[in-house]
Amino acid sequence: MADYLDAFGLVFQGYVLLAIAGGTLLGLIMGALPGLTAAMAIALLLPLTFGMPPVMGIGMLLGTLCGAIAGGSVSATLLNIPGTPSSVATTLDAFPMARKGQAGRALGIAIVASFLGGIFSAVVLCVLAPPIAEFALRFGAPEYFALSIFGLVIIASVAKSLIKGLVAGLIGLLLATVGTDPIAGVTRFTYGNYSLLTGINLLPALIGLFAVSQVLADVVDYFKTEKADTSKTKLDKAAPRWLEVIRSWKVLFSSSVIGTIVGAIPGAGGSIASFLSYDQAKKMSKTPEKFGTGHPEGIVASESSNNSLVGGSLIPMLTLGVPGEAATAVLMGGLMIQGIRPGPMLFAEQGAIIYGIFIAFFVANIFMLMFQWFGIRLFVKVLQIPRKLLMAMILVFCVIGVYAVDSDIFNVYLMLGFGVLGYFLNKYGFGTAPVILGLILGPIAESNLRRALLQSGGDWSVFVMRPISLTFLAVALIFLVFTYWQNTRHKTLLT
Amino acid sequence: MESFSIRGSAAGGSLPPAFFPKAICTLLLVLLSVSLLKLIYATAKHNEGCQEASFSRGSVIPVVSWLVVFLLLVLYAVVLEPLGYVVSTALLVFSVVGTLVMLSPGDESGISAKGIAKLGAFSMIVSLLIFFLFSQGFGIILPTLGVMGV
Amino acid sequence: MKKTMIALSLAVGAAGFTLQSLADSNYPERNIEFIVPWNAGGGADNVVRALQNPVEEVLGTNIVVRNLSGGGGAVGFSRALSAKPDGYVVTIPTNATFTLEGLGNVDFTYTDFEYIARVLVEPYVLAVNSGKGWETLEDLVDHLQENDARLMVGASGVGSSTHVMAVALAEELGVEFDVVPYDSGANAVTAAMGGHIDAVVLNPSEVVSGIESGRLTALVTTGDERSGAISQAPTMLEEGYDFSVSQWRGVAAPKGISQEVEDRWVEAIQSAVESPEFQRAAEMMGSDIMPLYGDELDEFVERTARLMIDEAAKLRQ
Repeated sequence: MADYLDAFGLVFQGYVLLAIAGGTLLGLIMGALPGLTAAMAIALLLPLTFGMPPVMGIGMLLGTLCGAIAGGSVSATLLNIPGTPSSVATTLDAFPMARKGQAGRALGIAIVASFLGGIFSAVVLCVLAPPIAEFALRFGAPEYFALSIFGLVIIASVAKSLIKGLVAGLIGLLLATVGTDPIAGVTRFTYGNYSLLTGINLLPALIGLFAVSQVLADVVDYFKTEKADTSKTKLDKAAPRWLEVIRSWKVLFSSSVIGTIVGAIPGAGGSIASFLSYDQAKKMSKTPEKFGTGHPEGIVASESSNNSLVGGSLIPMLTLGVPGEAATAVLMGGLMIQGIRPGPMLFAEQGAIIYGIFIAFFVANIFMLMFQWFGIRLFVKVLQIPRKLLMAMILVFCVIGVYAVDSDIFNVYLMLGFGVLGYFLNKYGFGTAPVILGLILGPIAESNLRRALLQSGGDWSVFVMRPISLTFLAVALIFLVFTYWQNTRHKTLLT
Repeated sequence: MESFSIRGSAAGGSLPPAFFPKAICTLLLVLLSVSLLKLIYATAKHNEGCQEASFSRGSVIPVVSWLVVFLLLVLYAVVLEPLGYVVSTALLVFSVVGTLVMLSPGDESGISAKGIAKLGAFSMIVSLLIFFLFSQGFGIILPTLGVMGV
Repeated sequence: MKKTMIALSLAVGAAGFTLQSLADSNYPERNIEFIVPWNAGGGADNVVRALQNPVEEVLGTNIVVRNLSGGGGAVGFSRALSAKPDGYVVTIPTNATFTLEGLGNVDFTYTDFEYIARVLVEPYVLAVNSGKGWETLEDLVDHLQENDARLMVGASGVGSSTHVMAVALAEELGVEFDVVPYDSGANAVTAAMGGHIDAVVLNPSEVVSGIESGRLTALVTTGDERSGAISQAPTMLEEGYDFSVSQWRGVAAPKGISQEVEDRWVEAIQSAVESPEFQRAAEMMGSDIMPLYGDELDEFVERTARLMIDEAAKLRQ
């Protein structure tokens, strides 16, 4: 308790609050721009934190992390550009809603869901961090494999047609095999290109499949619907939609739980959390056919989940000293440079600092809400920019963002290739989200399948002999059957 | 539609020392393409004569503009490093917007000298603004021409 | 921040007019680009960012850290090598510089670099899951040899220097390891803590918190001396094996930089390693500050490179 009081003292100082606010704002801006990730934003601010007291420095970086994830959903909603991989699921419903002229509503829902998801994970972080970390340790190769299969099944529910979705997913899986294979070190499909040695970079694929393909589609549309002058586009009221989010509290709660837990499992491919939640929400829904057309519950699921992911990902970092993904790895580097070594001893030895970090995380979420609350009216103005100018600017941002990932022009070509692929996938109803899922989950599935078999000496029964793995596989099977049933029932109802 | 089968077979044809995950992937892809082709065949038959073959001028323009915009992007990627960011971006913005304006028949903002000058200025300003945002604000190094820092 | 921005724009502007002939005696006259061939947040990246401030102070210019993370280091290193050897582009050499060559994935060799300094050294650690009951290296080796058993050992990525080192260690100890490569050191540690694999071969920074929590036991380290971060574990030399290799991180530039430039850098590193700020960071990262310059460094590089390249080449088949 005394530690908590000390911690409050550490956080509630003018400069500390200012630092957190600044970090959150920068995160929001960078997160909204395609190609700029949370990890980059944190790395950018890292040198500034050296001279600061630990809680102030870490608070600023935490703010950046929260802001970047939330910022990603703004561009996902308005322009169909997921600023970060975690906001891919947001595009599924938020963008259609924005296209229907309800951009303000879509953003309003996203903002509230993000905030509540973030706060949920903050509470879990304070209360349940050690047991959750213990649970995460029970994940071995078979469990990761089973989890990734579970994730792949989602493709069936994200796609409009089962077969087309699977084909798109398989394209993603196939593309995921490019690069040095994870176990034997043999290079595959790299054609002597260094840039492909570690596989296809996710960001160029993401931006190509979503943003570039969208602009290409808009170019075609431009001549069909040109006469509508965008500067007079009617905008609905842009404000947070508390009631609408709280009304779907079931989705909110389950998505936050999923986000926190997936975030806490290191290396589980955090960005799938929003898909898992989306899928879950659709399964629970009485009106699953509305998903994908601008359904508020879809936005709530994705957004609450990807922001609760942030708190979840802090759990293994703080309790085990193991960063789960890129952004927390940079954050952990920041902690160490500050002279704090994350891990079990941190709780015992530096209670005030760790509780300070918890409180700073709450504060960061509150700032995130405030900035978005004020910003929402500005964000939607983007849609009033004349479309021809907006398209050109989006293209510039895409190219530069992707170039900035590794300062590698090859990634830009890759993005353009994915743009064309994405355009045709969308045009013929395959969808691009399954490709991304395949790309994210492919390496996890393959490497853990092979790791598991390596460990079991080639015995396939490991996948069904272990409880967690068995559960995932069984539920995946049930979901697959359920989705099929849901689809066919829906079809028969229509005819 | 063609592009899928080409992609699949091209990638499958060059399989290096094969591992089973890859094999499964390729196999499944082929299998699904087959069932897919069937599906398309069925739907094509179903819709026959409904929407096909309407190659009027109106439907050509979007395709042309699509190609032009895409080619401009490729060109942009090619010149980005040698020409530097600011110059090539200004050119890209200018030409993309220019293309859209020129190809759309009834756009009243038209092709006046004033319009072109305005667009040129806009391209330059956007390009410079983004440049400063990224290089100064985000500490990201962009390719430069090496003249006057741009 | 603002100051940096102004300085940056001035420096970039000045860059256009620089005359090479004047450059070396006044070095540095503009920003220096520090290429980190891995992602932000990795071990190498942390080192560079911790060095950044103290080195900037001595050199009186900005260091721009640039993460070029393709190909397990291949993209960044070859990009650094393609730069003009004027000292405005430097990179961070580690054992990976050598293993990449040994694996045959790149077309540069370790001799293409001019090595300016070695800054930090960290040994490789063999740490086992504490639940397995092995307290010493002898326990482990006896157990494996008597039962003709194999040890499941995690490493941080296929073809990484920890992977190479795990293979080399098994050979030296005369036992059989099944090396399981993970995507990152963090994932390997998690698997070892959870008991899914028996052991890991990694660098101290990655296993320290696992050891502190009692889930992992460090059996042996591979350095010349005991590691500051895991001082309880003996070295291979102490255990009676003639085996000493360490991971190291330093500064290198493409071959052909002038002596003036190299001297300036050595001066900067010498002062940086004295700064308390850097020392604290190094301690937290579990590394030992062991600077080395000039001929001694070249000798060290030669010896380490030969060993890592040979061992890595064995993985190629």
